[in-house]
Formats: sequence, structure tokens, C-alpha cells
Amino acid sequence: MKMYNKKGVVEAQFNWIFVLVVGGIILLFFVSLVNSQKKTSDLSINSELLTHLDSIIQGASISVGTVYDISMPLTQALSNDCEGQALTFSDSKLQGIDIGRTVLFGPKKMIGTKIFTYSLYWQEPYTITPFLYLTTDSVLFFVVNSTKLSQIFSEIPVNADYNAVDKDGNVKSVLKYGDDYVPDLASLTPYLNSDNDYYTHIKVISTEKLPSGLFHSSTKAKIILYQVPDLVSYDGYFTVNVTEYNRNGVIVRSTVNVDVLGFPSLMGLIFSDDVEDYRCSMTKALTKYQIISKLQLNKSNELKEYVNQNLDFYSPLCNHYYVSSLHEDIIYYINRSIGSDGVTDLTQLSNFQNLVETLRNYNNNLGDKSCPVPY
Amino acid sequence: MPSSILKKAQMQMFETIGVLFVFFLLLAFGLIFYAGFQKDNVSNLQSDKTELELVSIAQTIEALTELKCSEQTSITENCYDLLSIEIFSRYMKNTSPGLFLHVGSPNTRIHYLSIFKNSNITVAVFNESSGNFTNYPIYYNDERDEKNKIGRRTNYVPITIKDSRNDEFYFGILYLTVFI
Repeated sequence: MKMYNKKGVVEAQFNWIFVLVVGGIILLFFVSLVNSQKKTSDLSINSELLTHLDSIIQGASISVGTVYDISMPLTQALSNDCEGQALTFSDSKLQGIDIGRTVLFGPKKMIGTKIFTYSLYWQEPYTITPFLYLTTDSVLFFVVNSTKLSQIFSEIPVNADYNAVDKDGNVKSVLKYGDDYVPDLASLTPYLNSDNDYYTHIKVISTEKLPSGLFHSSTKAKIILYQVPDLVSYDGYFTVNVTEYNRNGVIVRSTVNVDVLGFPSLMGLIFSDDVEDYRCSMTKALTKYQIISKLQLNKSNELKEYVNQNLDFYSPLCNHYYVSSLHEDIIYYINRSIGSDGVTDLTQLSNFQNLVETLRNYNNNLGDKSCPVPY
Repeated sequence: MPSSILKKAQMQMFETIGVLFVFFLLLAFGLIFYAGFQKDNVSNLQSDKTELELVSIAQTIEALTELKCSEQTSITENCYDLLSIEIFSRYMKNTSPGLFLHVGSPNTRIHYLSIFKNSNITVAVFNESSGNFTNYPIYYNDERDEKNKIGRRTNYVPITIKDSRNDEFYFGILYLTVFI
């Protein structure tokens, strides 16, 4: 009898152990299944978001002069990698949107509730490519004394009724300082001294330098000053001094003198994360400029030939304005700028201004004389 | 008596194992059906992706300034320049590299290869006098291998074409084919 009791006790205990072990295995199986499904679902949502973003960005680059805003979850940051030629979600294993041929200017990491897109055609003098600008509501632009800088003030994309909202739901500020300009740099102080950490970038566009000791704040934002020359028009070649400050007003990166050709290029510099990003995007633009210039050279030659075959219809003076050497010079300077070592020399942009002006005048003259115009 | 008690204990365990076996069998059936459902889902997604790629290429061509009509640097939307199309078509065929100053150089072809990838693009211009269409291949991917492709999707976009030589307008069709 004792023997039977012992056997019964062993059997009962073994049953429970067996049930626990098997139950644990089943539970582990379902937990791992749920986890893998969650990861797949997250990847799928990110992939769908990226696909839609790709279409939106393609459309936005064509819709020149139009501001689009795209809502984004605050937990997701969009990474803009010019060197890697991809726009993707940070910490994502997905390949991302290919931006190898899109001339895009924007922060390296975009965090915020909204992304704004804007585009302008870069024309020197013929249309080369649209420049696409990206920014978020966590980037604050100040255009100081916009009476002088009215062209810049009016082109920075903003929804006039839009207010930036931080993660606690508090309205902090407008993307651009309302419809009023900041009269002088001293008026910037309250904003630069704010303690909020919502902003990632504070960009100040001014014709003057920032005085030392202007601000002491705890903001974690990158503060960048773009000192532009005081010009009537920003459509030609000029240089901009770019200086980066920390929250105590100390210069973090020494002033860099950056070459700019045309207003869209200036906007590209202002929207870029730093000078290196601007240089990378301008390299793409110059590559496109090279291709377009070659096509325009051929087009100009074909039109000259066509006019010569139809001299009873067109004025012989037309031939004077189909000058292939101007296009060849542009191609030459682009080649010098891009170089073979992979480092773009933007100082070569200074050589384009006269060539572009001459081509523009010749094109206008062709139009005036009712000759076929290349562009 | 001891042998019958032993037999009952073994039956008890077999019952538990039997239950577990049936449970895992049902689970396996469920997973097989789920996998089949996911497979359909993936093929639908693939089809959607191809459609989106077509739209994306159409948008890219829309953004190509090298083919658009322009008047004194002002771009005319939804209009393509016939002379630019002819030059571009010859450029991509690379028939006369000397004439085009090495325009058809490898770097340029790589530039457009990365934009248009696995697609064929042709512009057909309607000639009213002859009543026929003249085809201008804009992009043709020489490196694609048709044997490895499951199929193709084609989109037709009606466009306006302007000849900048004599300011005449024509009707045209943009053929976009994406290979899956």
C-alpha cells in the first residue's frame, strides 16, 4: 500500500510539472508571435508612410511656389542623408526614399508635428531643376529687419494661422515671427533666452552680425546666423557668412563664407542643416546644370541651323545670338566646380554671373527679333 | 493490481499528450491559412507598388525641365518641346557622341538610369498631314532582362507638344511602361 501511495504522489507531481512546462512553452510561443507581428506591423506602417511621402515629395517638387504641410507623429524622426542619398525614418531598417537625383535642402533630422515643403525653380538663365525645401515646425526662422530682406521674408513657407505646438500641447510660437518683422537684433533676446526645448534649430537671417553676449538660454536648439549682403536683388552671385552659436552666444563653428548663385540657392543654404549639406545638394544641382547645359548647347546649334535654312522667314541678325561658346564656358566652369576628386568647389560659381547675364540678354534679343528662342 | 494501476497512469498521460497534439495540429492549420492570406496580401501590395511606381515616373517626367516648353525662362505646364524631345531621344540613343560633345557619356546614362530604372518611356507625336504617329524613345533600359520579369504595366498620358522652331502645337502621347 505504501508503495502505491508513493507511485500516486509521483504521478500527480509529474502531471503538474508537465502542465507547467508545456503551458510555459505555449505562452512563450504566442508572446514571440505577437512581438514579431508587432515589428512587422511597425515596418509595414513605416513602409507605407515612406511610399506616400515619396509621392508627396515628387508632387511638391513640381508644384513650384506652393507650400504643403504633412502631419507627422512626434515619435518618428525623418532623417535626410544627402551623402547616402536617402530620406528615411531614424532607427528604421527600411531602405528609405531615394533622393539621389532630387535637389533637396532640409535638416538632417526632422522632428515635429508637421513637415513643410516648398520649391522654387533654379534658373541660370534656363530652368535647370526645382529646388525642394523641407522644414518642420521645430525650426524657427527669424528674418531680421525684413524691410531690407523682404524677398526672403515673403518666401519662407508659413501658414499664417499656424502655431507651433510642443509635445505638451502648449502653443509656443509661430513658425515665422508672425507677419511683423523683428525690428532689430535686440528684440530677438526674449526668444533666444527661452527655456523651451521644442525647437531643434533657430535660424536668424540678417544683414548684421549678432552682438556678443546677446543671449543666455537653456535652449538645446542649434542657433545659426546667416549674414547676407544688403543687396537690391538676390538673383545673382554673392557670398553669405554662416556662423553657428551655442545657447550662451558663444561661437561654436567659426564663420564660413559660402558662395551662392541665385535666390533659390540662398534659400537652399538657409534651409540646409549645415554648410556641408548645402554643398552636397549643390553638387547634385551642378550635375543637373551640366546635363541641361549640354542639351541647351545642342538646341541652340539646331535652332541656328534651322534659322539659316529659313532666312527668308527670319532675320539674319538672329544668328548673332545663338552663341555656343557661352554654353561651352558654362560647362567648363561646372566641370571645374564639380572636379574629379569628389570635392565641390563652390567658389567657381562667381564665374557664372556674367555668362548667365549675357545668355539671358541674348535670349531676350532673340524674342524681340521674333527668332526661335532656345528657352 | 499493481499492473492495472500502472496502465491507468499511462492512459492518463496519453490523454494529455493527445490533447496537446490536436491543439498543435489546429494551430498549424491556422498558421497555414494565415500564411496563404498573407501571400495574397503581399501580391496585392506588389501590384499597388507597381502602380505607384508608374505614377512616380510620370511625376518625374513632369518635373524634367529638359523636355518642357519654356518661353523666356517661364515654364509652360503640361507642354513638351518637340526639339528638346528630338535632341534628348538622340542623346539617349548615343548615335553621334562627337556631335553631342560626349553627351551620351556613361555618367549621364547612369544619371537617368537611377531616375527611370526599370522602365521604357516613349513620346509619340501625331502628325496631322500624314495621319501617323512618330515615336521618339526617351528612355530604354538596355540592361533589363525580360526573361526575369513577371509582366509589365503601361500607362498612357496625353500631352501637348510645341515645336519651338515654328511655334506649332501637336498632340502627343507619353507611353510609360514599368517592368515588374
